[in-house]
This record gives sequence, structure tokens and C-alpha cells, in this order.
Amino acid sequence: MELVYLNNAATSWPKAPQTGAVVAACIDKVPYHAGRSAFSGPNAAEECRCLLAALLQVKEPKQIVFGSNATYALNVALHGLRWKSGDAVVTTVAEHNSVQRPLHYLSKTKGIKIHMVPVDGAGRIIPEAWAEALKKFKPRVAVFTHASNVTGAVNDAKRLAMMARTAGAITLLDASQSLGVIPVYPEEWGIDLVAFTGHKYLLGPTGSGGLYVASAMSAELEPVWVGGTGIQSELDEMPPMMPTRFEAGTSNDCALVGLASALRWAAEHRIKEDALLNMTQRLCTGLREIGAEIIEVTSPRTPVVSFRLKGWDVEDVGEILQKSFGIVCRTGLHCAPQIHSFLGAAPRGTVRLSLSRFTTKAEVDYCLQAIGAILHEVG
Amino acid sequence: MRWVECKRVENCFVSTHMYAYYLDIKISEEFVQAFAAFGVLAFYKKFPRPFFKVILTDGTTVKGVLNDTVIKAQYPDNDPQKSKQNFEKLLDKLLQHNRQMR
Repeated sequence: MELVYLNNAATSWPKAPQTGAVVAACIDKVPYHAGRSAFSGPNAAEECRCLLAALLQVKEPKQIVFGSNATYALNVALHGLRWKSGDAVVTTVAEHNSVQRPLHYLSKTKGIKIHMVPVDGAGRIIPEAWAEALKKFKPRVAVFTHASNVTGAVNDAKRLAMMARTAGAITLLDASQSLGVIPVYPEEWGIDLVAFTGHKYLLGPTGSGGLYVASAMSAELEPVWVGGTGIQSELDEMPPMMPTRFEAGTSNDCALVGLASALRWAAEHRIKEDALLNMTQRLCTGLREIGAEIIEVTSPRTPVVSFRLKGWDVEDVGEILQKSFGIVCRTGLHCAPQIHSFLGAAPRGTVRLSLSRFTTKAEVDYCLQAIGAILHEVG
Repeated sequence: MRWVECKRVENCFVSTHMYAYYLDIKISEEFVQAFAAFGVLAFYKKFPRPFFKVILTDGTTVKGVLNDTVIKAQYPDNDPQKSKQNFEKLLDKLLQHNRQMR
């Protein structure tokens, strides 16, 4: 039984070709850290920054700060803001715990007020509700996900950010589920902060990710992590320049080398968004025909599909898919607990299948066959 | 104890009392059928690796697949510790019986 991996929204597999090899090679190479020794060599972080800047279409690579993942980046952003008690935040019920938990923590420790905006039955932020919340609460910060990790519904980030900016809010976009699969253009869209991860649709290794910080925000944000930077060691505080201001300690060079390799590969092998969407539609159509209860999502969407099977507990379906059929998926709340009430999927959540550019028709069809067999068994 | 290891299973659901028991035998059909006497068995034999689920009288759910070495038990919320103790006794008994039959 061959393994079919449909859990790319958690972490991608396979990674971009050669990613593993360059990571392995990196750890055995003499480490070059710019400014920290008399010898110099390839600067993995800077190359990676330039590749990401090209992908994000931002002018200054130095505005990209590296961290271990999107959660790290979201914490750097949210904890780095100079909060005052009573500051309002508008966010959404579609957020992952990587947003919800830092906000909850800040509400307890800093007295911020969190206002949640609902989503529709597809998990997409309702623009009218977003506008209403912005008008009513006049938030200091607006935080929202670009794409739901539960349903794949893509939000109109440009429009939502513009509305928030017009209301005077700092905008923070969680692009964990979007960067690498659909365009993310923070400068063009006027977004202040964008958190991303390297190990999902960027096809890089775990331990890579970061935060785009708009130039105007560089001084607004306080560094959360402080420590050695290899430069300006005489200063008591973090050096003021980007990205050093937000990058304390030794960087994860191996992960960044891997991410840079994946980004180079992806730049040479552009993702075929239509083909991926068609594959996702093939899966949805098949699921519908079988009789699965899918969370219906119209385009634009990422290749994420959530469903349930009548008569079956979602966890059992996941267990059977994985152990009986060799299909790796994810079940439950997907670390986004609040969205499920709006999808009619509370309290058990959903079975989630998430494709990648490497998913084949045969894999999708095998998965449909397996799900059909599960439903047939109970029937 | 006759199982190799017992680990709490963490998953992405509302907190549950689920444990995985790592056995030193592969789960056979006879072993699954033995559970049936203590609850209601659902056995899906047509899957490439047959899946079973037993709901014991106290609400404990036991599940796994044939030829695997891991069995999962989820205990009810009302008294999970008592259910865990009872299940472990039962598992111990069934494993001993299984050994004697080999």
C-alpha cells in the first residue's frame, strides 16, 4: 500500500526537489556567519530574503524578518506592538490558534479588547461584517487570515486591508495558507505586516518562516526577542536597522538554505493555479457524488477541502483513511476552533484533505474510492 | 502489564481521554472478536486493512486495524480513570489468553 499524502495544509510533502539534499549538505559545511569571523561565504539568509522579496513583490528584502514559522512571526508582530489597555483588535472566527492564542494572552496581560468578525458557510470573511466591526470598534489593529486552513476559502486581502487601513488600523495578514499557492502582494495591497511559513506551500523545510514588515512599521514594532546579532555589539539594545532589529541569535541557516532552494525551484517551475484548482474541483465533485457532506467553497480557494461522512465520526474516518488505506489527512478542529460553529461542523470538526502541486489524479481518485468504500461499508 | 507502552494520544479535537497501547503482537481477527464479548463490535473487513471499533459497556471505545501493533482506547468523560483501569485489566486478560493460544 503506497502512501498518499493529502495533508499539505499542515506541512507539505514532498518538498521541492533537492530541498533535503541542500539542507543535509548545509549542516556539514563550514558555517559562514557574516560579520562574525574573518572568512566569508555564501549568505543563505540574504539569498532567501531576496527570493522572498521577489515572490512578495516587495522592494526591500531587508523588510523580511526570519523566524522559525508563522506562529513565531505572528507573535513577533502581535507582542511587538506597543499596546495600551483598551486597545481594540478586530479579527475573525476563521483564525488559527497562532493568532487567537496570542490575542487572548494579550487581552489578559495588556487589556486589549478582541472583536471577532463572523464568516459565511464557506469560512470566508463577510466583508460587510468586517466593515461594520471596523466602524464600530475603531481598532488599533486588524488581523485576518488570507485563506482558511479549514475550508480553503480565500479572502479578498486587498479589499479587507484597504477597509481596515481606511479605518485607521494597522493590518496584519496571516499568509500561512496562501503564500506559494496564490499571490500575496503586501506593498501593492497596502498591508503592514504579513506572517508566513516556509514549510507549507513554499515547499521548504520546517523551521523556516518569517514576517514582512512594511517600512513605516519598522520603528512602530518593538523587538520581542533581544540578544546577539553579530553586529553593533557595543549597544545595549538591538541595532535599529532592519532586519537585524528583529533577528536575535543565530539563524537557522540550514532551514533557510532549504527554503532558498525551494523558492528557486518554484520560481523556475511556476505553480499552475488552474491545474491545482481543477484537481481540487475533481476531489470536491467526487466527494459530492459519493455523498460526503463537504464544506462548499467557491473560487478563489486553496487546495483544501473539508468534509464529513454521515454516520461516521470524523476521527474514525481519518483513522481509516490513514491506517486502512494509507491516505494521510487531518481530522478535528485543525487548531481553528471557532470557525466550526459557522460551518455547521462543531464540536467534532471535519476531515480535511489538502492537495499540493504534486498531487496526482490517481491519488485523488484513490482517495475518492477509499471514502466511497467507507460510506458503502456503513450503508 | 502485557503491553509494551501506553501513551496519551493528543489530537486536534476537544480534549479527550484517548490512549494508544503498543502491543508486542500483531492484532488478529481472533483478538478483535474476543473484545466483542465485552461490548458492541463494528468490524469493517472489506478495507485493505480491516478496521474495528468496539464500544464497551462503560462507554470506552476501542479501535484499531488488523495486523497493526497499536490499539487505541478512548475513555468516557464521567470517570476516565476507572474506565482506564478496567480496560487495562481486560486488555491484559485478552493478551494473556492470546499468548496461551499461540
